[in-house]
Amino acid sequence: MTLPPFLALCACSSHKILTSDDLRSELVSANSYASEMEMFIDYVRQGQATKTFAAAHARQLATEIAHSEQELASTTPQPEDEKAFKSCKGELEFLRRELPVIPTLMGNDSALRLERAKVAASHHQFAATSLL
Amino acid sequence: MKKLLGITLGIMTALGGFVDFGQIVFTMQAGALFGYSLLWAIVLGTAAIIVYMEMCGRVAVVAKEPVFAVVRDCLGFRFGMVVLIASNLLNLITCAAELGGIAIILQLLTGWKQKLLVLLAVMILGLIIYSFKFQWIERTFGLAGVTMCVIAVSAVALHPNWHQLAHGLIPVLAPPKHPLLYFYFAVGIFSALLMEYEVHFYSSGALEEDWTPKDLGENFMVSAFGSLLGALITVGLLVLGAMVFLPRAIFPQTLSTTMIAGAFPFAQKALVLALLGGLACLCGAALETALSGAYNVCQFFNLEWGKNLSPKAVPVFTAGWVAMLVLAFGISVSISRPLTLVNISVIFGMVVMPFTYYPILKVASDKNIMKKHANSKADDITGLVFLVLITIAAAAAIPLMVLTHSGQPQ
Repeated sequence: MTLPPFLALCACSSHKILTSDDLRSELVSANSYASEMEMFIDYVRQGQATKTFAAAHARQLATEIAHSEQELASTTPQPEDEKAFKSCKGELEFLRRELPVIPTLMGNDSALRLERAKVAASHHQFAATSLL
Repeated sequence: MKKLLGITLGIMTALGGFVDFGQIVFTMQAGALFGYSLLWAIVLGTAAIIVYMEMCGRVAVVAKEPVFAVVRDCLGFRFGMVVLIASNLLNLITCAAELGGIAIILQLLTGWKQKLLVLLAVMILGLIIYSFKFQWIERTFGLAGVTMCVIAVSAVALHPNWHQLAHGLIPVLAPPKHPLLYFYFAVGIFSALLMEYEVHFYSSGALEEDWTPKDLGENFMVSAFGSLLGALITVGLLVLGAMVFLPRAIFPQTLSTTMIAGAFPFAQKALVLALLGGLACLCGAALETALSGAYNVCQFFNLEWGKNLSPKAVPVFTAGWVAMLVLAFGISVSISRPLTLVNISVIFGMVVMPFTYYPILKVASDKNIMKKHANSKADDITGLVFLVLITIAAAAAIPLMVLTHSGQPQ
């Protein structure tokens, strides 16, 4: 009977408790990534980026987002922050998944416009749920 | 005419290594968070580097003493040794960060794998140091770095609010929002402008090129106008951060993001130009840090050194820069985020700074050594004011780094 709580305690002990300030910092960071992705799509749509640059930048940004996800995954939020925490994780995962798509859409303006709208909608929803 | 050409060339050359990875990222992040309000930190940092660079050049020319010989004589062997180790660790971290940055830019240009590009960069830089004379290394990267002027042009093309920009010249002592973060970035900008490897490389160069007291005018012009040219690009970085990122609530965390801002109002060709300019500056900084490491050791232990001598004639010097490049390569490939190294190098750079600045100020003021070329009263007062500022910034650097989680906005 005592084993499961003990195991749960062990599992949690490797997780750092995420303070509200730290979570706020993660939310600001995720919001920044979402804005950056919107700007990046606009930049690509305007034909300002080379194909190689777009692909490499998308890869670098995705790596940075994956790093933030990893950091977040190693923490446990306080109960009152659970909703914002989940929203942050979800947004980061969405951005990381969508980033590699952008360079493949280069030259296809309507597809890029749709992608931009998709990212903006997710960003909007994230901002609303995380109370940024 | 020939002299004027030489001075112009010297001024442009001073740009090599002036704008580095730390400066690009820190300044743009500062602009993205605080708009133009940290412009004063750039002005202060530029004035400080001019004062320090001019004194180092003058001491090298008149006393024929390189920086680390002065540090050893002034601070004593033991404490001088501590400063030497700290300074070279800093050079190593900075060199590793620059190599990481070079690989990132090369990847943006070619699409190749980053780790392979770090290796390629180290091999090419090593070959350049081995085969080129000092003057050629200095001039090639200095002149190529002038393409970074695209940053300043981009900033002007976005039509900044000049009135607000001028307002940024006045320091805000009690900022209403995020005061710790504000001072962290103030210290970061100040430190990034004052990176000591630039000055050590410069003063060693004065000895490499056999400057005489007749060249002191050139020393002043190159220190002052070369640093001002670099400062102009740094202001451009701040303006771009304020105009491209602040309105969009973006906090740039990758070098590639800062490169987008570098050519924001223009087409693809400007982006490529910004990338090439960034590449030249980072290569210049990587070379200077590797060579500075070797210069520092040889100068401290009074060993033969010189890039213009045959590598076999100066074995410790040659082993020194090779070791710096190899170790920096090792650090660079084992760390996934070069930006972490940038934060460390900029902040710890500030901590080490007073210990090399003070000995130079002391010797530059010494009439017995410097004779008629010693500091004037005004020079001494200016030098002391900057010593106080540098010491305050050095004392605040690490606490601010800890309290702001290395400058993470909240």
